[in-house]
Amino acid sequence: MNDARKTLAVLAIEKALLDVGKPTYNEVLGKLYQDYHSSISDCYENPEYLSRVLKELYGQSHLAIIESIKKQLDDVSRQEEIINFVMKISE
Amino acid sequence: MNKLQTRLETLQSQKFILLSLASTGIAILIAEYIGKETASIFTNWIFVPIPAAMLILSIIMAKKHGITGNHGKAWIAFAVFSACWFIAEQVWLVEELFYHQKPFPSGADFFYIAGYPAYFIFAMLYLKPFRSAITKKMIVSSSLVAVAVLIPSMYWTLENNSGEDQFSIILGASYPIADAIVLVPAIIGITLFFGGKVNFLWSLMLVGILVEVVADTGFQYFSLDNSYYTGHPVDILFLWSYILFSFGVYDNIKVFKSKMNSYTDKENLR
Repeated sequence: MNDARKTLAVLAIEKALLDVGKPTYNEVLGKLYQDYHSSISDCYENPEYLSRVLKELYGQSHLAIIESIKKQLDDVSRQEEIINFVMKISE
Repeated sequence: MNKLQTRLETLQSQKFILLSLASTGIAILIAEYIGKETASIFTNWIFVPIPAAMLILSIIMAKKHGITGNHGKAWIAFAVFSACWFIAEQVWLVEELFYHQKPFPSGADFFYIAGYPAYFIFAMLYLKPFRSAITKKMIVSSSLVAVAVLIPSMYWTLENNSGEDQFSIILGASYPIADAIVLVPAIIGITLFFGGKVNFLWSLMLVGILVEVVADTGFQYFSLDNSYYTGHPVDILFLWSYILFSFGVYDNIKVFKSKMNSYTDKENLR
């Protein structure tokens, strides 16, 4: 069950990044690895990594991408772990 | 260490931009000092490599993105814009140097004007993924700035009573209007991406468009005054806007140089 939620979160992140563009997706992946030795799936436990990488790239407007991730997770947004993930990523 | 390196790179590219702007400006002024004919020939030919550089960089950017995502489509639109303006410059050159015709108004204007919607589409598509961060206040204030920039230009155009025909006056006046329209997303972009790496692109886009506004207004003013010729110092500003746009695109290529290529096991990064 936990894995399913994590997969949903990863898919939401991937979709939001690919909606911007493939180079953005690649850059975020590379930066996550370079700065935190992490992958996108690690962002489920550490959403702040993704938030920081996006902020570095797009400044304050990174919140728009985070908003898009939250929107993708609307259907499962009442589940506790997703609530935690969404709260942490928005901080 | 990483941030220090980024700052050094930014400083270095800023130095290079200033050097490029200064050298092109000085080159045109020297040509102008030698004589009007030299200035005309030199300026016509310098408008081949500089717009070509912008076109090449935009094609690289479009190829890098492909058609994926909003930014992929945005960079295709930017490449169309660059191609339109590159063709326009070459039409201008051929009209003036080979056919010895007055290049304004001419077929070049069709391509200049066609470039504006392409640029506007680029800006819209680039900003689209961030639309939830765009506030009404941002749109209103950037529109007000654009109108404020447009007013002096319109004043000079409508004030002038030269012998130019109505079509030339309307055509000349349409450029600052188009500049003012594309200025709006540029101001939104710089506000939106403040503090981010992509902000350098938008800063240069904004300065580039502002320089273009001054250049178009100057062009219109001196054309109506019958004192414009190719190689006139006002052309320096047109060149500068190409240089600023090109450095903006170049910086964006560097930002997205894809660290992914250095990793062999990409699947593990997901």
